[in-house]
Amino acid sequence: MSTHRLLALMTALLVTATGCSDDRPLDASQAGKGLPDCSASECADEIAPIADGVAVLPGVIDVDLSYREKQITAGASVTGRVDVRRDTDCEDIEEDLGRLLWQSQVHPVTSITLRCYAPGSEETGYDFADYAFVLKEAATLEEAWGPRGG
Amino acid sequence: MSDETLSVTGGAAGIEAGYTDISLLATLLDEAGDDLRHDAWHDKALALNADLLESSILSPRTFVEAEGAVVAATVGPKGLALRAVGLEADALSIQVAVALLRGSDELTMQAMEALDYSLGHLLGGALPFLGLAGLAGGTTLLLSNPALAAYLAAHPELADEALADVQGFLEDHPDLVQHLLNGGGGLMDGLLGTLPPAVRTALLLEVGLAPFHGTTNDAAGDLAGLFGDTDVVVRPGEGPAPDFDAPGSLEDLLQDLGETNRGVDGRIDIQVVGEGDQARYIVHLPGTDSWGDDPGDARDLTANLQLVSGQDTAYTRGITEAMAAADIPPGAPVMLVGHSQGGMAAAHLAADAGFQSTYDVRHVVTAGAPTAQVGHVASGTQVLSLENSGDLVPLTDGEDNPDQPNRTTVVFDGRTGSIGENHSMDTYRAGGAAVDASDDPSIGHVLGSMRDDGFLGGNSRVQTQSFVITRDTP
Repeated sequence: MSTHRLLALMTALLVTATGCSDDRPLDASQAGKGLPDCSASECADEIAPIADGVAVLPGVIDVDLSYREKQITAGASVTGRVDVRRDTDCEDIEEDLGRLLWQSQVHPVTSITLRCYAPGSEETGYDFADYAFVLKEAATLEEAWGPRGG
Repeated sequence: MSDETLSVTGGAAGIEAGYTDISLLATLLDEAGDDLRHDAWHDKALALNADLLESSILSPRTFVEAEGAVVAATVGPKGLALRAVGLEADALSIQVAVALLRGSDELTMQAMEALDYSLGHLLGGALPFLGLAGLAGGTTLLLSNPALAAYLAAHPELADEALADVQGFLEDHPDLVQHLLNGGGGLMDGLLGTLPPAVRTALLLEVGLAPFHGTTNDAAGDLAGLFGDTDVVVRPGEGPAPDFDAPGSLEDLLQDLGETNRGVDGRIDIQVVGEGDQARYIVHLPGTDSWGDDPGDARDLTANLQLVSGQDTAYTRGITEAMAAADIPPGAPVMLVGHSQGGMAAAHLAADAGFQSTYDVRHVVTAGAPTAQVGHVASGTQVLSLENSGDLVPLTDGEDNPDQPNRTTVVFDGRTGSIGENHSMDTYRAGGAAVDASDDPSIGHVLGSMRDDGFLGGNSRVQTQSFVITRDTP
């Protein structure tokens, strides 16, 4: 056992002894901890099913996804571009993006943020289609979409 | 997130604004007393009025009654003069009460500073011994209990759970963390104090550290000096920058900042909302890119230490250069929006007299940034600071933000169970949405002024320029 783990264990015992209890519901951003960490491979295999799922959403013409590792100031995320038909509002697909990310094996990840283009948009004229797990209860999402990781 | 999860200090409905209002009331009372006293003496002169005196011959009895009435109404026991003195006495008592309250706040703060320094010093002095004792004790425990050692080795998840517990403890006790951090100067002095005097003196001379660090800010400044500073290079961002819609809310503003944050290291974006004389400039400033492992990063640990100690950084100099390169005209209305180190830089620039004389800095929005080290911001600039109660980064200034009428601090409950996630842009964006939905008067005032000033809620055309700020390293 490494020194830092030993110190962490001792600190935890101290914390427990001082009566700290954590009864807050699990945050959805922390729900994927049981899944294997795929960041070393940029989660390429794990992202593919999300891309397939987005591609068949109503109004979606094309999609291109990639994985962005955690930064100091931002959690890990799935990013990319989605092209939608003119009559599709980018906000309309956000819940589906959340569902597909929740049911995926991508871990660690806390959000999906896609640049959303209508036909004929200039390269800089995009909107956002995004969904973040932070500050959402894991139990609520599990009830709606099943277990994290599908 | 409900309004009950928001805690608001400062701003238009803050304590200092209350003190200012009460002082103003006292001044008005004082002025009313002055006027009343003046009127009393003026009216008393009626008793010496020539016509009235002449009437005494014709009607001595009514003359006496009139004289009596005038004297009673002006300088009598229930007259204007005495009431004027009463008003002025009330005004004085109110002023004294406000001064006492302000003095009491200041004394409390100074006492906490001294206490935190002492605790830090104590901890710094004991830390090496505690660490050694803990290591020795833990090792002995494991060596003497092979079964325990085997059990722990077979269950590595226990250590992960322990780390999670530590995270939970830290995010549940931000006040404790803040006191520990506020004792940073004492901690450093205490650690140095454990060294033999000759070694300590030699070390201080060799690395150029000061022997005493009264505050965390002093310690940070001294440590920043160890890393040295560099010149800065500012270049236009590669490829066209996104043309977002004009932000309609605080959440939109933070979403745009999140997009800037996803760019390359050192990127900042300058949005122009509207055109011509109606143009408003929003400068998006992301936070720390690295801890110093990339020598080109301007947003590094050195810059964090410099900003906590109130110094300029390569980043702040780069922001100023980028704003000049973006052709923002002198005197133009500007809003600075920053996350983490970006928020520190924004607050630092807003307090800089030279920067303020170049631009009309109307608004500063900081998210997850320690800003208490910035003592005074010009009254024409509104500062809105968002802090997640579970985020340790805004606590690194060691103090609460100053309660000033133009500085509103909103602490929201955005604890996710992860120290890293508590600081993330996604979490602050969600906090921004909660602030948008709040009916707190200070929040209403500051968001209302953003709308009135044309930074939020308009349908104007938006153009964006990107710049990349890096250190000029060989």
